[in-house]
Amino acid sequence: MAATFRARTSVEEAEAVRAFVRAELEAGGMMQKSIRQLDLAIDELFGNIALHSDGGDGTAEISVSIEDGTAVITLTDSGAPFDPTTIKEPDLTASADERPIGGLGIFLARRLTDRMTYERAGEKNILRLYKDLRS
Amino acid sequence: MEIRDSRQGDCLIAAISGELSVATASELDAWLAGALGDASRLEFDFAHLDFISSAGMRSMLAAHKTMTARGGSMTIKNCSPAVMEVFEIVGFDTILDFE
Repeated sequence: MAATFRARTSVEEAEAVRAFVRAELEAGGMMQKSIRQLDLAIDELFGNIALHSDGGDGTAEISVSIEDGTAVITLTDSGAPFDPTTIKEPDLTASADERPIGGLGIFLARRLTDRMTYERAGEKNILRLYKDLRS
Repeated sequence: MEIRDSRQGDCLIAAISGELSVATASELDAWLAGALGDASRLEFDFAHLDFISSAGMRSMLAAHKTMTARGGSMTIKNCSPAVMEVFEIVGFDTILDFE
């Protein structure tokens, strides 16, 4: 069973989206550290949709389910196609001067989840995050 | 997010509490643009910062670049282990100054 939350694609909604995801993960029995990591991943990925998703109907749907000991979070939006799983990793050894401002959020989300998958279904971006409940 | 600031000579000290997230980081940027003045040192006290995401780290990197460009410096103090871990994952622990 998945619990679902609908939000406007606005950064002002990020806190409500995160609170929903945290509550569902807690109810699912996930460890606090993993909840904290997914909380951060959601700030990054929902934030990305809110800031960069052009077009669409201005809403996103976030659902959380627990499947065989794994938390699955699905973010669906109807903005322009965008696949964060193919974004190149930033150069983590570059100096402060060489570091571009930005580009870190997707990298963080990838590091904090076990797996991320992307699918474009019709007019929708569907991003799924997986993390073991006990990891 | 709340910002409490004080000025000691040429040093601007900003104690940030709450969250530096995608929803709040731009408030910090806007505040800093107005508050920095001619300060040559900038200190962030993160003792009561509970959460930081890349939006907050972008603010830190931008502030660091601003201070370096004017020949000044920036230091981040009192990070919790959870906040420090995020800086470490993206490699900012080696390019920003922490105490």
